[in-house]
Amino acid sequence: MALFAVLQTTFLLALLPLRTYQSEVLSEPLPLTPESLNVSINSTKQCLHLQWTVHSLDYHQELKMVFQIQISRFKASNVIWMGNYSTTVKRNQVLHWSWESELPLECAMHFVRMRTMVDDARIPAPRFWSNWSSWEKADAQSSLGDQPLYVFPKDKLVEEGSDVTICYISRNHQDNISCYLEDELTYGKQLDQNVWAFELKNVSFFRKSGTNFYCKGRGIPEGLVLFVSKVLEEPKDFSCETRDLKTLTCTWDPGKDTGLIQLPSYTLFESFSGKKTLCKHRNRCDWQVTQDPQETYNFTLVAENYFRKRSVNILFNLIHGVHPMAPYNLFPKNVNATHATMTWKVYSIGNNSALLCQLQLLGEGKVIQQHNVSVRVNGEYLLSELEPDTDYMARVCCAYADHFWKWSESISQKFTTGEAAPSEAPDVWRDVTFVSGHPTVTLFWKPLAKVHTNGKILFYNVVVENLDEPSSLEVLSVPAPANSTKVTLNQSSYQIHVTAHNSAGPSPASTVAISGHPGNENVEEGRMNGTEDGFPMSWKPQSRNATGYVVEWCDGPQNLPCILRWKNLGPTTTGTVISSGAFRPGVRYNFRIYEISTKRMAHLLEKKAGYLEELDNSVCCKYTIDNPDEKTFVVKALQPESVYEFLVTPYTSAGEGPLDDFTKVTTPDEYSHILLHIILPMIFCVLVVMITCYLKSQWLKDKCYPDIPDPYKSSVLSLIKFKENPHITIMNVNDCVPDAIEVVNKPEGSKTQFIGTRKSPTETKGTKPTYLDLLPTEKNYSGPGPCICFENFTYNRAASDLGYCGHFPVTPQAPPCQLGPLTSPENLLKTLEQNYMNSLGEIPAGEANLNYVSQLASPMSGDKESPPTNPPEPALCSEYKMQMALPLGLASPPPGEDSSLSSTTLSDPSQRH
Amino acid sequence: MQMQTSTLLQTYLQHQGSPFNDPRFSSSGLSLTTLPPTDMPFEIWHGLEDGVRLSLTQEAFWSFSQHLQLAETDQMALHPDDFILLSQLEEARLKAKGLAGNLAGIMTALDLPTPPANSPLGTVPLGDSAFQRKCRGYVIIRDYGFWTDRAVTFLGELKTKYSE
Repeated sequence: MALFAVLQTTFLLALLPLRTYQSEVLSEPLPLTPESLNVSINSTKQCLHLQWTVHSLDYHQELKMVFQIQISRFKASNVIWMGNYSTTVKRNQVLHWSWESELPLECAMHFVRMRTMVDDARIPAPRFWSNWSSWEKADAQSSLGDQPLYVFPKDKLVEEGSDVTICYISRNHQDNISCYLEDELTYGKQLDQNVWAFELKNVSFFRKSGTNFYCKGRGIPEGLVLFVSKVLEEPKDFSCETRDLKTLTCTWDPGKDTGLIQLPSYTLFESFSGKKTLCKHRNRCDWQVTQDPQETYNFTLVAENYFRKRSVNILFNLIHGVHPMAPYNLFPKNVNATHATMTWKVYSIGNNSALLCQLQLLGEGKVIQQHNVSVRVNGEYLLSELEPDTDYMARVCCAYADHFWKWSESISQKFTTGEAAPSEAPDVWRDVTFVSGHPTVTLFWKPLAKVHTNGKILFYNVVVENLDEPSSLEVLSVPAPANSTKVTLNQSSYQIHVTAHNSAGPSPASTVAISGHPGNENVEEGRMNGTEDGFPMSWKPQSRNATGYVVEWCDGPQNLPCILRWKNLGPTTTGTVISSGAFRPGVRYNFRIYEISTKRMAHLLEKKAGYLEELDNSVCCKYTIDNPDEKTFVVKALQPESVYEFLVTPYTSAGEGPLDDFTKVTTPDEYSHILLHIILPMIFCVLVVMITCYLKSQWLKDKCYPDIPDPYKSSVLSLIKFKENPHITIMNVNDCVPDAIEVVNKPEGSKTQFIGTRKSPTETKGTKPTYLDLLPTEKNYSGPGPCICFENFTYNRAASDLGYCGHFPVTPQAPPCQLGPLTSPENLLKTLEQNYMNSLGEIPAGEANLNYVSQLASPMSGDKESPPTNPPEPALCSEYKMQMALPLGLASPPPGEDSSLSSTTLSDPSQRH
Repeated sequence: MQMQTSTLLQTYLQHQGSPFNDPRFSSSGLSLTTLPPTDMPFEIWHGLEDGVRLSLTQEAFWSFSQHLQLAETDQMALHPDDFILLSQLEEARLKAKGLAGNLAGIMTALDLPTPPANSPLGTVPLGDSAFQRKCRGYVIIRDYGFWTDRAVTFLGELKTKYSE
């Protein structure tokens, strides 16, 4: 074999110099030119795929070769990329190589050629490149249809932050095409006559369903969807554990979502076994432990998407990662007042390995007991030292006993212990009153503290034992929650036993002894002062055999019945401080101190009285009313705006009666009555002025702003009646229909004098009006036409009937009041004339008048063929004013009569201005 | 049904991004050859016999039920989490299919020939890219709205005509 290799190398070395020699001498390229070069396009990956062969290899051995590749775009001379590809070649081997284009291949024709060179160490230098192969064309455009617009690539999956090149091909050069990334206009560069390219730099994630890029001209928009993926993160917190030594569960934090519908894949590799599994979840993976238990695992988690591959590794010991399942079926068993047995079960681990379970007992949310129990399948533990009638919660969690790593999830169960008999005797006191010599005893007891009730107190038993008649025994049952009862006795000596009962039994008895006779009440009352803490008091023991002392008082001495309070004290105690939240300042409290004998008999020891805080300083006045029949009393000399408290209490020779509640009284303001004396007259005066003004308002109205005269009530009507004209009508302004407004311009600097000179229209030619039409006017209407003179004077009905109206020029400065009263025809005509003459007065040059022109009233509208011989000058048009119809006879004098100027104007249209 | 069709079109366009969600978006040049035609002038449609119009309407809604299924599949790939759009498409598909079935029942009652129920849908254009599939869904829903309006009017006419 070695001999064969040596021979082969020798042959090769002998052959190659020969070929080199041939090449140099004959000027021919080495016959190692790549052949059968084929270029194809992969549109999905935007790759040019090259395949070729090298047929010229004469021997059967491999030869290392370098292929130099050139790629051109649009035309062969436009080389855009050149690179080398080295590989080992066999004879007749089909070689493959791909090149990814940043520009979509559909948008440009590509050309590829290559040449080769032997790069084998076995071949000595010098080495020569072969001749270039012929250009091979890759033309994706030829397969396109006849759409006017194409956008490439079709869809694109890219990673956030990368660059993307998009192009379009437009068949119609005339079409103005705009391209948008979503709704943002994007600018590109022209690559060819009909090809434009757009480079999108650093693309960012837009939405999960992709980012639209589209181009539109006149036709249908074409586009693509860019699916932008966020960068795949490396899994974090990768760890594994087992719950049963049969299955491993590895978990990790995958990081932020890549934002694509196509999720990255997660694969778990184990190097020792060489196994792998494709994970079904993006943050968790299960791994089956084999029958032959493998204790150590070397896991590699590989996260992979289209762009990236991320991996993390851990070394995991199976025994060190046991996380048991939570125990189940936790129940209390045999629960009594002080004990309970808790039972539970656990899931077996491996071959029934032991678990360490922790049992916790919680009371009022706090752990009060904690016990560790070793369990294989069933757990049990007796809880002791429990309180009767108490709510508890038991909680259990377990861990792998062989190697503690982590507690399981816990399971909990509530239970309540049973009741026990109350542990303490009720605190009992008595109040003894004698009615007709017979003692009536009211027994009081305090509710037991919860720690002593040991259950719900159902009732209290009161046993009355007559010490003088041992056979006499009276039993009373007082249902809870009563705290007192009354017993009537005779003059014997008694012992009364009180017990509290719950469902479990009675409490120890509390005993009081009652003598059948009143005790010594003649004890001197001592005084004392209260402090912030209460009433401090002390006493002197009378007997050495006292079993204790009781201090008794009423919380609200002023209220009846007295709320009796007492305090038990030990036999060695000779002083205490009595405090109560019910104590109030200014209230006198009486305390009685009893000594309890060995026979449970109470003997009054001392009386004390005092105030918690005396309020005498705040009493400013104290009046004594001697007459018991007097029911009213006036307190004088009080301060204004002050608050006083009054209390009336009876008194006898023995002293004052109980103090009742005070009544609050606020004295009024000192000046309020003075103000009252001032304000009332002022209000009266204002009212008088207002009434006077009201009464005078009509007079004021008549003087200042009289009513506008009503044409129907005008005095002109009386004249009409006087003439007995049957054609009397009143013109309503609403009947007039406005048609056009004329704006009259006068050339600046020119003044037109009309006074006394009846100039013809030709002489006033320079004042041609400008019109602002409100309604369409006749086309050939050359002048403003006759205008209605709307003013507050009479309207010539005859003129109106003739389809003509007077055209009265006015000066804007002329106030309406210059018209004067129209109380007679003469005055009316005079006024018209005066107004007309005024309108012919001097009009400032350059001043424009806005006049109203009525088409309806114009004779032009009805008689286009006969325009007026003397069309009125626009300056002579009047402004809009109120008017009323005037009977023909009044306005128009008979023909031939030497009529006034105004009458002529009204009757003869030809002389209008 | 017309209101639901209008709502479906609005929902669909809102979910496709620009330019589809542009309030002025309309592309009358977009069409699908596999969809029932919408270019028949109203006068010609109105002049057709009732039986012919019934048949055309039945065929149209059967076709729409299949095209809406296609649009639903396309959108499932693009918006797998968008239950509102997908449920509206599914509802429209079921209504189109239901109406086609009802019309077939009417035609049978009138002794009119009905087309085979399960005529398969061939290759539908505009499926090469995600953008084209968005366009395809738009055209399907737009034309479905046109045929819904036409069907409601036509069935109203029939009801008036035959209830007299």
